[in-house]
Amino acid sequence: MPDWKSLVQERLALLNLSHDAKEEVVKELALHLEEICDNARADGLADSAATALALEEVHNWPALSAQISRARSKEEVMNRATKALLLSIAVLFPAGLILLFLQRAPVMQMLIWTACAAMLLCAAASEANRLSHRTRSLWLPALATFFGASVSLMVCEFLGVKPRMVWMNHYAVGHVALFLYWPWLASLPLFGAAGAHLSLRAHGAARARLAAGLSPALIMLTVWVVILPWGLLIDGVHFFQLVGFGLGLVNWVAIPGVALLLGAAPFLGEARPIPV
Amino acid sequence: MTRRIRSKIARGSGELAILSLLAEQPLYGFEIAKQIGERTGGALKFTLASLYPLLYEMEKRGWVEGRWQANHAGRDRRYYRLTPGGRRQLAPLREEWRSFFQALDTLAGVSHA
Repeated sequence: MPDWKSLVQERLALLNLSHDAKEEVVKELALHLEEICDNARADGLADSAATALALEEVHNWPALSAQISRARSKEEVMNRATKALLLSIAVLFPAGLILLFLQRAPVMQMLIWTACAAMLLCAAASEANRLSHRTRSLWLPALATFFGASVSLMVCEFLGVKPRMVWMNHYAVGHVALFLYWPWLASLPLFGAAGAHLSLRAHGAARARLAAGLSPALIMLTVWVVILPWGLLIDGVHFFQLVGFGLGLVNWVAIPGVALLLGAAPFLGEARPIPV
Repeated sequence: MTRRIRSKIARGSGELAILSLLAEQPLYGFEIAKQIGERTGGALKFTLASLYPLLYEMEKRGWVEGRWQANHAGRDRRYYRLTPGGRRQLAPLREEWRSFFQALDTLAGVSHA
C-alpha cells in the first residue's frame, strides 16, 4: 500500500498555498484516496488493483493543484482586498454625509462620493462570483443606484444648479414651496434603469428589480420616517412641521421615486433567461 | 440502467447536489462523493479531482464550512456543513435548475424522453 500522504504531497508539489493550508489539503485528499483504496480492498480487490482504482480519481495532478490553489489562496487575497475597500467606504461615506449636511467643501464631497462609488464597483467586481443571490440581485444593484443618484446630485450642486422653487398656497400655513432639481430629476430614470437592469442580470425577482431601481427613494423614505419622530420629539407636534414633512416626502421620495420608476419599468416585466 | 451523465453537465449541477446533501447532514468529502453516486444510481459521479475544487470554492463563498472531527470509525475527517448563507442559496439554485429543465423540456421534450 502506498503512503498516501507522501504520494499526494509529491503530486501536489505545485500547490501554491501557505504551509498550514497545504498540509490540510494534502491530509484531506490523502485520506480520501486511502478510503477509496480501503473500500475497494474490502470489496475483494487486490492491493494493486485497489491502489490503481484510487489513483484513477485524478488524471491531471498539476491541473488539480492549480484549481485548488485558485480556490483556496484567492480567498485570502480577495477577502482582504474587499474588506479594505468596504472599510474605506464605511469611513468615507459618513464623512461625505457630514460635509453634505454642513454644506461644506463641495469639491471634497464630489471626490468622496466618486471614490465610494468606484470602490464599491471594485469590491462588487472582485466578489461577484461568491456573493449570495440576494446580494447580487438586490443589495449591490440598490447600492449602485443610490450612489449613482447621489453623485448626480453632487454634480448638480457642484455645477451650481439651483433648485427651482414651486410655490403652493395652503390655507393653514400660507405659501409653501417644493424644491426641484430638474437636471437631477432628469438623470434619475437612468439610474433607476441601471439598478433594475443590474438586478435583472443577476436573475433578481421582480420585487428585487423594483427595489433596486427605486433604492434612492426608498432610502430617503427610511431617513424621513426616522427624522420625523425626532423632529416631533424635539420641537413638539405642530401642523406646520407635518406639512414640512409631507413636502419633504414629495420632494425627496415621491417625485424622485416616479422618475426612478420610469427608468426601472422596462426591466420589471420579463425574467432574464438563464445563460446556457 | 442509469446512464452516466457527462462531466460538463454533472459539474454544472455539482453545487446544487452538494448543497442538497449537506442540507440533510454534515458529511466529509468521501461520503459526499459516495452518496451522490449511490443516490443518483451512478448517473452523477464525483471524483476527487472534480469534488474538492468545487468544495473549496463553495467554502470560499461561505456556503459550506469544513471542520475536522472524528468519523464513526474514530478517524479524523474534514466534515462539511451548510452555513446559513449556503442554506439561502438552495432555493434560488433549485428554482434556476427548475426553470432550466422546463426550458429544455419545452425545447427538447426531455422529461418524457
